[in-house]
Amino acid sequence: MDSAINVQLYLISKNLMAIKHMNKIIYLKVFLVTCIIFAFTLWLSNTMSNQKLKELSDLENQISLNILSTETRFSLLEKTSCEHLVDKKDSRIGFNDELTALAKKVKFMENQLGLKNKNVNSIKEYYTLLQIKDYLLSKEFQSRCGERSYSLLYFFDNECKDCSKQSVILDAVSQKYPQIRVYWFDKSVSTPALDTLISLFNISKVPSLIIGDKLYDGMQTLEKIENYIPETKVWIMDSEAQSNVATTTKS
Amino acid sequence: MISSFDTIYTVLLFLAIYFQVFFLFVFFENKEELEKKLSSLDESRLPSVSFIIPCFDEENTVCRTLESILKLDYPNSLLKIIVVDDGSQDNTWQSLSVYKSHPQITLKKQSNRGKAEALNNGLKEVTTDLVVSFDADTEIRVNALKEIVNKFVVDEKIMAIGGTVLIQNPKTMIQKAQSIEYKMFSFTKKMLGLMGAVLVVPGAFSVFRREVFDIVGGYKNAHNLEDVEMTLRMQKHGLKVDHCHTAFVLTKGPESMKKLFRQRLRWCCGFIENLKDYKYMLFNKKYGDFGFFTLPLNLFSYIMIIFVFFLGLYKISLFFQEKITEFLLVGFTNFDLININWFFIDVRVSSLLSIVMLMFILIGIILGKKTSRASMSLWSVVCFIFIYSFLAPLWILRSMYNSILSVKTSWR
Repeated sequence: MDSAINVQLYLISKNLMAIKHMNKIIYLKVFLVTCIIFAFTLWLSNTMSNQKLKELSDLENQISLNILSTETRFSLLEKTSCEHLVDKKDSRIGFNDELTALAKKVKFMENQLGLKNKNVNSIKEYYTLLQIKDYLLSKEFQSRCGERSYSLLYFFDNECKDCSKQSVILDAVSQKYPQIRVYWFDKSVSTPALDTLISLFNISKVPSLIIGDKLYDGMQTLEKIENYIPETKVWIMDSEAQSNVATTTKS
Repeated sequence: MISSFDTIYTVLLFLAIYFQVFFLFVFFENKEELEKKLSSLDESRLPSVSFIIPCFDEENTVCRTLESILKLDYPNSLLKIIVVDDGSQDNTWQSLSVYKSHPQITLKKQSNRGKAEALNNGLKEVTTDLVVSFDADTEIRVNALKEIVNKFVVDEKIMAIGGTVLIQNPKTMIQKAQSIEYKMFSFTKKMLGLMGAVLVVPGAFSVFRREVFDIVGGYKNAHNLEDVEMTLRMQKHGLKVDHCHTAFVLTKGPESMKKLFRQRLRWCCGFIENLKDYKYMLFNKKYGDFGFFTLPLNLFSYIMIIFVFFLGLYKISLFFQEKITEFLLVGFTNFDLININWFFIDVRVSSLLSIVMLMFILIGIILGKKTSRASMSLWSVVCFIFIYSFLAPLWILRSMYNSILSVKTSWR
């Protein structure tokens, strides 16, 4: 009884303690600061992405310039021999190495910004055109000068399941055989030139490969592709012979 | 699916950063108070103190615990110890017999009824101004009691104060990881203390005014987590609860992964069950920062840990899946060396926010080190990150599983 009264008195004497303090302003302030941090990262992310996109379009312009210059040399030297056309630095013509490097970057940006991003799409369109141009140019060079290089056209889109596997295989192909030029055409890019190319080769399915003007649809394994291009055996033998020479000279 | 995952992750990161910024705000607002040295106590005004030590099978540690308390820098006449043996099956009672006739120590024995009942049993004997709940496997630093008592003397409104628990001589990797965890959380606990929104005054070492138990009642079993429940009840009654970052006790901590997992499962299950019992406090204006900050923070941290765990698993499995299909399709190719080209750095908002969050965690660790005034080796930090990043999600998931299952059984 006594203690109960004591507790009551105690509570009354300390009635302040029952009021919980809650400083609403700090909640707002913290929210504001968090928003500022968020806005800053958003801005940073945007700026860096734009920087990358700019780098890509610069690269494309560079390649386009290169193509234009080669074309011009083609027209100028129509009647002369092929030797003039072949650069002294590397015996191959075309710009496929740069295009491959570009392909990786375009793919990365597509993953980062999503498939629907306008900037990425316009870069992809441009990239597709450059590939077609490069393909035509190297074909002309082959027919005129008989250079022994192979073109492989690969048609895919982002939804098809086998395409991701096929892409892995083609990555390996271009790594193993630098002599083969692989062109990557995303069917979902709608540009008139690509549409023409698709109807020209009668592409209906994805994945589809064009090797030496012949259409192969459905997934093609590495072995199959090697069989379609008989020269691969020669190239492998050549590279083995070369590495043998290298080891013998070393020893 | 990936993009919606990414959106959720971004929102969670926003909230996580919100909580971190909040802590920093509290820190900078109270910077002076944290560094302020307390004036020396007037010895004649010191309150009397009783330690209640429930023990169950603690034959190896209880004597050392008692010795550390007897060595405290506090007048003997004001210091009492009540040891309650909760039906130990080992030689605890025999080892305690040394203290049978000690003037400051009272020994009690009960049949095994659990920690909460043992504490209540001890409370019956209390006649002092302050009551300390203390664990039998814990040792106290010489100045710890005075540090806390000082706060009670200075601020009359404070009703309970939790001390800082650290790991004693961490030896195994598991203990080293815990030692970092305890130090790290001394910062967040202090910040919550400054807000008057402490989640738990630890059973290992916390000090109460005796009146607390008259106001809110004695201990309850509370899903084997009596200290959290006691704190929830004090917060519910609007009592002022603080944390003292300068009063240290040292505990052993589970030495193996299995024991740690079992301990945390008990804590986590207990917390979830108690939160269910007190769910009306969540986002309730009446309970101030406790309802609006502490409880949501703890709930959120569970969600975040589990989300990050699954995101990590998903990313890792995706990576291996890619590598395996690659291997099956084309065999071993020359692996691309890691591209250091800046172009391939991920600059999406979510990954930039992750970096910001990591920075905040780092700041948290540094401030924790500062508040606990302890050293941290890099190796221990690595142990902590490695062990907790996969163990914590497991005990949280298991507790949620247990919690959901028990709801089903109680419905039947």
